Amino acid sequence: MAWDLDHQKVSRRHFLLDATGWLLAVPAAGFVAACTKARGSGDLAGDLPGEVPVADVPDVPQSDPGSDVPVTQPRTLSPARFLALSALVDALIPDDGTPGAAAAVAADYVDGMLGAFASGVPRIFAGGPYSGRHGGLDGFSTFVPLTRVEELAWRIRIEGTKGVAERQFARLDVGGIFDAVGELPGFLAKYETGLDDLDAQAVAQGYANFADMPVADRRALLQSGDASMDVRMAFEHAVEGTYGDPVYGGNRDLVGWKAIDYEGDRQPVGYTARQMSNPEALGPEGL
Amino acid sequence: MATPDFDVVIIGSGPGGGVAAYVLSVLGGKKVALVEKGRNPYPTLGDPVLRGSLFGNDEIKRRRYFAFQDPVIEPRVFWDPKAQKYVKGEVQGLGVCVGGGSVQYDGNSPRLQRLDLTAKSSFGDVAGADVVDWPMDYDELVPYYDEVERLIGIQGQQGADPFAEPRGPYPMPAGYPSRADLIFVDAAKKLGYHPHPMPTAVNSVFYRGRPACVNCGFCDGGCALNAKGSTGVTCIRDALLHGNLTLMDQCCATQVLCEPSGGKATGVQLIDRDGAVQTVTASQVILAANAIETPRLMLESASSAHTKGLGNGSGLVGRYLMYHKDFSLIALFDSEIRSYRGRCITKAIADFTVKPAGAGADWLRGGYVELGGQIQPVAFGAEPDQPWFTHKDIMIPGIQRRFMSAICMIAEDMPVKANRVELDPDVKDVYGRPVPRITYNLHPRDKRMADFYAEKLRAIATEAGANTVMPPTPLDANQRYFDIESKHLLGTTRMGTDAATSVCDPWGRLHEVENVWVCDGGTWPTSAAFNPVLTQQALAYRTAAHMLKPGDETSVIPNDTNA
Ligand SMILES: Cc1cc2nc3c(=O)[nH]c(=O)nc-3n(C[C@H](O)[C@H](O)[C@H](O)COP(=O)(O)OP(=O)(O)OC[C@H]3O[C@@H](n4cnc5c(N)ncnc54)[C@H](O)[C@@H]3O)c2cc1C
Ligand code: SF4
Repeated sequence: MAWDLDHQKVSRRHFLLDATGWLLAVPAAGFVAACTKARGSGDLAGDLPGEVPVADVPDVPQSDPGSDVPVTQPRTLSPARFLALSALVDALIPDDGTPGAAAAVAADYVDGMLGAFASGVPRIFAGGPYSGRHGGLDGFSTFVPLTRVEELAWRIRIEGTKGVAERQFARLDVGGIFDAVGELPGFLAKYETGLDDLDAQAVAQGYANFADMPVADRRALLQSGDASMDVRMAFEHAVEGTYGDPVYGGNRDLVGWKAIDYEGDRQPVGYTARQMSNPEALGPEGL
Repeated sequence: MATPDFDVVIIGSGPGGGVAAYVLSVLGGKKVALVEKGRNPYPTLGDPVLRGSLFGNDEIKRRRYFAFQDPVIEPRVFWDPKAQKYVKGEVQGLGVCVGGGSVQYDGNSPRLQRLDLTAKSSFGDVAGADVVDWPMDYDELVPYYDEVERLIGIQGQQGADPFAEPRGPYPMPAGYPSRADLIFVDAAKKLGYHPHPMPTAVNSVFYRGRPACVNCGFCDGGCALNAKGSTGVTCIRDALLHGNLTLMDQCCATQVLCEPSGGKATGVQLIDRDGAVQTVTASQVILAANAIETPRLMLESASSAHTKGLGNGSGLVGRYLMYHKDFSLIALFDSEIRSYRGRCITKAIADFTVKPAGAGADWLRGGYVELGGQIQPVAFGAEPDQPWFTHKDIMIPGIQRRFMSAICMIAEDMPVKANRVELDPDVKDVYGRPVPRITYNLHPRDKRMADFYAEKLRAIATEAGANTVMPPTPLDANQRYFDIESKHLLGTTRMGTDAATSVCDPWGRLHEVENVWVCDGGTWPTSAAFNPVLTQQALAYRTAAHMLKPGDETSVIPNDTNA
């Protein structure tokens, strides 16, 4: 996958241990097994809202939130593609008793990113230092103007190299030792063709469009490998749109953070010594 | 000859460049240009009152490479030992902005031990590696450590680490520990180890005009409060206020320019923020772009006098790249940890850096151990290795945020000549510069050492009551390598007394070019067993002091500590 060349390494540095990127040396399967074990143990997570014992978690959720995927007005994609995008993020992070990407309107996050250059100051980097949710003024809403090279980076990401002279250094096939060939496709083109293909495949299966499919069928299609959609890219964006700061469009009403019992940004108040060293005594509601 | 524009031009404003800029401009009265390719993320930097920051508790911004090396415009080519081929992408990225890597780092700032500078005389030769002693004594570093700790603002507890070299009090007391770290403390003590507060470049109290840390847990994205002592908000701010420093942010140096004889540099060529090529002339040039970017620039600066690259008559520029060999594990607990609350690392142990009584000749030195670690949800949830169809199983119990902690050991890796930075013949970056091509393979000793200590770290986690420790068994170190990426960049312009076996002299000056100096981790002959930044800063101070007063360097350090 084209984008993975660049994104492979992003994924490695999550657990912040100073020097290290984190270790997903742990094979993903092992990790999931450990989490699942912990989840099933009851003491860890049994009291969370909407929590069900692991044995009862169906591989594919039975409810079908796809039928009422919230549709907000798209800024970038056509209404039809935005509908497909909403159905896509919903299938990737479904509502299985707790809100997922549909409730977070992660599609709005993706649509906003794809159209970042439509605004005066491109909506790439929110401002600082505070959101205003915990005191101080809201600085996040004032986006940071891009430097010359930042703009180029984000135009390449979103629009691709597209034969533009100053973007050619980022073509996939620069350097004879790499497998990839050709221009680097941008997010926008990848979504447009990928979403159109999802709709076409849904039609071939007898549905009106992708959003018309039950969520289980949408997931099956995405897992089948038959769809041209870059599922990994879409999944990363769905996660960002669900658990990222709402200033970027997703995580509507903080549903993403609430769903996973996470406090989100904390500046300028931060955490007290007690909240930091004794988290059991004080959950987020006590903050 | 025309008067140069500046007395000194410095490439790179990270830990090394920032400290050098302060010493030369504020203490030495030199006219200094600080050339930094990244943006200035501190909108009011240089204002006597205001202290702004564009950073916030915003994971998206960090994932979008704000003020960080962006692999789309600055990719690297590196050897992937798993795939056994070179690949293009992101590796060893650090902050690209005013302050460099000191902006997003955790601020862990231990001093080295005497042993770190005497690897060869203490442990002897290692086949397949060129282990040497440093061309200086530990005691030489002490006055610079003291002063840099005061300038940057380091918190810690004097005497708490029994293996540390003798020292005075820290400028600030240690802050509160986090649960993620505390959970290991009793277990470590029970196993006979000596946990102590991690010395950190984060304010535990109001310090030199900057507020105390509120433990928001987002150090990785840059500090919204300026409570972390990046060189941007400490040294560089002080230097801007003083008035002798010209900060040239968004300017990428592309070449060090030399006299035709090659014996002296005349300045640097750069691409400015508008994309125009400019020349900045200076009497002295400091390279502080980090141990990947400095050799890259030196190799790019080949000329008729320096055919193999600036100062590369020995052919050693770019060689002996070291990262530290890290070994990390994660541990799951039944009780709540919420590791994302608070500073990243608050506790450490140094027990594995010294030879225990009764250990044999085959004892392998380990490294400094960080107890704890943290993660925010987008970074974890978007991990592409996780199959998306199990996403909610992971996110909802919130195991990684609520029940997980980690332990990481930072150990010395061997200086191997074949581990190196070269210029890629094909791939270019946004400035049209050839990108670094990096080859790094672990030395067999590094693997043996990691496997030996992995068990000891696992024992701490188990003793602490972890219900699950991962990885469950030590993995093959080769397999682990790119999953456990150190961000410590060392070697590549090693210092020494012999021009045939080193690139810089013991003060950081290139053997072959009398007015070019290196002030980043590149000068380290061996990688030591501790986080490097504080020592890099002390070394940069020492180099700058030598430039000002050769032979009487410590007199540059002000007596008036209110300076
Ligand atoms: C998340 C994270 C946590 C870390 N935590 C710690 C820690 O707790 N303790 C520790 O000791 N280390 C830590 N590190 C490592 C630390 O950040 C680096 O070791 C350190 O920043 C290296 O310093 P440097 O001065 O050599 O180079 P850098 O910090 O890389 O600074 C070099 C600067 O030069 C600029 N530059 C490069 N090339 C050019 C050019 N051609 N023209 C103009 N400018 C240029 C760069 O933009 C950069 O700003 C951490 C790293 C990361 C990523
Ligand atoms: S934890 Fe402290 S030092 Fe780190 S970003 Fe938050 S306030 Fe700044």
